[in-house]
Amino acid sequence: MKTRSRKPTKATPSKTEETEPKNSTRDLAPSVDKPPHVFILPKDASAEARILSLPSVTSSLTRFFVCPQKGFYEFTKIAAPKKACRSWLLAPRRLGETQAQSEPADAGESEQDQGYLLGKPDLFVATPVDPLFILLPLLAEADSGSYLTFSDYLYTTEGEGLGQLQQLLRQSTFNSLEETMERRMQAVCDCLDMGDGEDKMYQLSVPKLAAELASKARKMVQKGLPETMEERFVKQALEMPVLSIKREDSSVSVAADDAAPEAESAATSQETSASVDSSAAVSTTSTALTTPTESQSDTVDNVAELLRIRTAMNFITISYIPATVRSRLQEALSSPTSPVNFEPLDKHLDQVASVKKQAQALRSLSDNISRKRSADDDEDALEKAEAKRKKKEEDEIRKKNTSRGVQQLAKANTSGMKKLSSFFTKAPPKKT
Amino acid sequence: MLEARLEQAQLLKKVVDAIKDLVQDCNFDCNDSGIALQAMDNSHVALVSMMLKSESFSPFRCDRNLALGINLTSLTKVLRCAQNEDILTLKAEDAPDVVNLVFESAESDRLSEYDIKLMDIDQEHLGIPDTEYAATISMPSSEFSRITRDLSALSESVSIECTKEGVKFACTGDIGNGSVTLRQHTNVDDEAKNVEINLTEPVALTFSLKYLVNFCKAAGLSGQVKLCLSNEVPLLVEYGLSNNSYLRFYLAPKIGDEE
Repeated sequence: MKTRSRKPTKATPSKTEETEPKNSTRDLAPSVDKPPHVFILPKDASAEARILSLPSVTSSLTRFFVCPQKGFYEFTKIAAPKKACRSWLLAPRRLGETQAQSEPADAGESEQDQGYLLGKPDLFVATPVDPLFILLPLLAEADSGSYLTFSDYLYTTEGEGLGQLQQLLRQSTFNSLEETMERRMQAVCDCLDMGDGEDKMYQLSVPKLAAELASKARKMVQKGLPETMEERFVKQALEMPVLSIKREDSSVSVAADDAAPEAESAATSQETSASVDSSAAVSTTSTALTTPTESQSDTVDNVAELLRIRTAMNFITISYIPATVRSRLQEALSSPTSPVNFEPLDKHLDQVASVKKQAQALRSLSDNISRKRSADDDEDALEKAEAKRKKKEEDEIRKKNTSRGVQQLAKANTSGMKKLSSFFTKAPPKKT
Repeated sequence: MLEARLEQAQLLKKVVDAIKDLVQDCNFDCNDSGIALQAMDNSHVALVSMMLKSESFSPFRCDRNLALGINLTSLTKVLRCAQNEDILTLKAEDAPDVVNLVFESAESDRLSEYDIKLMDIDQEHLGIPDTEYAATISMPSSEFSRITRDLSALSESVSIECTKEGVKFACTGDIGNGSVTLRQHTNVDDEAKNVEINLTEPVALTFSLKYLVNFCKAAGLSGQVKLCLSNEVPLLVEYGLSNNSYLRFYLAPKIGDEE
């Protein structure tokens, strides 16, 4: 099936006949310039749900799926590697046929069998996204120490591309969504309640945002980071270089850690024992990271956990937080009031870096010694051989261009003979 | 541009043959008076000076002064492709990369053409003054060749003593010694066999035989050779050519410790 569907639309009818002589031949429709995409949308989405374009952090406009009950969904593109020869074959009723044999087979066969072939193997999955991230650019933009109401943020700010959302939210069916959005806004904002039915006023609070992010990151870590992320950002960063010399044990004490990460790691271990899938990778990696001494293993575990949280936060920050807020967020995270204490991690990373540097220096030194000698010897030998060869060549050329008489004359004894220039004066350079 | 046509290729063949064993590369300086050449051997004790006057060529055309730097071994190789009786034409552009030689056979319609790549040669040019020599000896070139050849079997150097009685070539070597003396002699049948000595004062000088033997390779160019000597100055060996052209060799004398 796969091979056939690679370039199905280009195949001529006669060719189809050749490859599949048993099937009744059928002409395939010519390929379309802009083929449709395959989307996977959330189940039970209401009929009012719409796809709309909204400004996002990464690119100017991104499409979102908005459902009045379920909230916002972003589209994640899942693409096969370019080399992989994959396509989509969409055959809507085939599965149904096998399940329900009772259904009359010939009931509109022509319609049912209208499958569809897509050249590109791309798939767009709608994944839920916190409306907070959609509001954040608005909050960041308007942030100048003033308090504004939710609708002020949404309707009066001149956010480009918000028109579609504003239109949508004006419909009564989306009222619940609007409430959800406001609630999410409260989570990251300082709030002023004027009372007596007036709208609440909001202002972005970076510490609150940091706390929100931290909780999100913890949630992300709980389920285990994706394997590639774990490998690249956690395992590699914590890897100790193998040294032939003994190094002193790390003096980072466990007691310095506050209770939160402790509980966090406990939760993680429970999680790992319970679930078998991706989080298994986390447990294996953490065991791989452990070193013989007990105290150190604890430290390393904590550090790894912290690093995972940081990695998750970095990922969220880069993907969803507007650039204008990032620096302030970073300040909040490094301040003593930070929701996560990264201090042990920083210490440990510094230590790893210093050990790595040491190892690098040692390696380059030993490399230098061994390489230099051999390279020098080789170079010298090469140079000598080259010089010899050159000299030989030159001699040969000179010999070829010199007559025998001249060579013989070179042997003549010229002792006692003055040079002719001592008899004849040098003439002016050229008479020509 | 240069265009010089020689009725007989053998002139250039013989000149180059005589020089090529003394120097490797040299500049052929061409101007409207002819083609001149001056070069020293590697030890700078001998010098060859050639002048081929424009009258030796028919026709001779040289619009601009040119220095053609040629490797004599290469030139010899090309000149070997010419026969003695061939008509030889030398050609070169104004700023030449190559010198072009055309050999035409007089009897057949054979025409061969060769290009020799030129080279830049930085040679010092010596100014040779016209000297009044104390002794001038003319003799058959074959005789001079024979003397140098014979004596070179015994020794490396020869002393040339010129007195009123005649000229004495003497040498002393490991196996013994030998000498050849020539007196003034006039042959009525053949002028080329004359020996003529003009002397203002007696001269005695010692020279390297190897160099003299080398000079004698030009013997084929002329029946007579002229030796000019003065104390403490280089010996001049001159082979006169037609039309006042000449081939001259200079050789520094051996001074001081004589063996």
